[in-house]
Amino acid sequence: MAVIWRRPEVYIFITGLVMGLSWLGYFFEPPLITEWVGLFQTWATGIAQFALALGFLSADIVKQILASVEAPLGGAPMDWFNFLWTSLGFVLITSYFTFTKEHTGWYFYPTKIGRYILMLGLGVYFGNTVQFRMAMLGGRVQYLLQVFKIIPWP
Amino acid sequence: MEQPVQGRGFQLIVLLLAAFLFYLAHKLIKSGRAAEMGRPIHYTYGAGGGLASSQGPQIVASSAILGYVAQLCARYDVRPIMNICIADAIPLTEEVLRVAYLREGKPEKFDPKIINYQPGQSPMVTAILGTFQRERPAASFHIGGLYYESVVIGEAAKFVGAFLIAGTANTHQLPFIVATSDYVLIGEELYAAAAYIFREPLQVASIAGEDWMKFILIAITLIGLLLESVGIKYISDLLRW
Repeated sequence: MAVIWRRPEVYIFITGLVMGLSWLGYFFEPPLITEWVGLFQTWATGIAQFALALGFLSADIVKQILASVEAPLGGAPMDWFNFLWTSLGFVLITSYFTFTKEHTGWYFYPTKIGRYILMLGLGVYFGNTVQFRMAMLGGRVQYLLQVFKIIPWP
Repeated sequence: MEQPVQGRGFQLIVLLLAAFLFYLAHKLIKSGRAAEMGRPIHYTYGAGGGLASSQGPQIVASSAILGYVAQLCARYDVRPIMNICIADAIPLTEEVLRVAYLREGKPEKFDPKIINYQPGQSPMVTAILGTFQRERPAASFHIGGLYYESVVIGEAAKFVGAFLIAGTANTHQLPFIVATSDYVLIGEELYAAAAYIFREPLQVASIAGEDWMKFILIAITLIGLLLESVGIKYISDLLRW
């Protein structure tokens, strides 16, 4: 039990819990929401926002970079191709979305290639959606043909 | 308080990516496509949520672009038509348009009736299709939190020969606006374009701050990529630390 109290997330949890419960004071007569409680809630909300920011940093930045830089465990050529495609694609596309440096000179080609890779990805996405819709249409047409006994039921 | 980016030569912001909308909108209307054709332009934010929702920043960014487009419309006497389904964006839109006409010295030309409100996504899409058929706009802008209307508007705009500029940060709609539009604002370019038009120091600073962070992350990724490829796990250990 004593080990739990050494973990910092326990205190964050308790802070959030107390902050939530303190709202119950609103239902008392007179309301128990005082200036001090309001200040405490503001402080605790700040902590919650900080925790949210940490979660974002972990999921969207640290793990993204980790997945991009870690070399494949298997030594197959296709694994290495996928690794390099993903990692370099990530770097080049990110460079395309930079706005403070003009995309000229040496910086022209990385951003241009990044744009091509991005367009390739979006094209695949679009094609996948069209293919999915066509597959659905095919299923409906097959069903109708079966209903009208033009083709047999399976 | 002085902004951290001031005095650092931050005049190159969004030159290649976001400024193209600025340039195109200017070229489009100045060169008189809409004016010469005697046809209006159409503008919509898309169906995404309200101003307080997660789509809100896109709508606010879009309203900055709307302000610029409306100013050009006022200058060259082109009639803008708005179709929106976001109730709390109506006052914002009205004010943006009013200020745009005021800036051009033609406040009497502003008519609030150009803002058409439909209470939902599908009614708005239907109204836009009807607007396209009746008014046959010379250009259409759909910039904001887009959902399925992106591809429908794109198709309808092509049908009436409207020049189409689209932009959204909703990744699930990006392929469709890229496929159907003449020019697109992809993801963060939308915010960058708004910052470029507004010239608000806080917005510009936020874009600049993100940019510097991106350069750092690119550097970390490239170094990690090289080191990991030769078996040195320094960067991944550092990231896990």
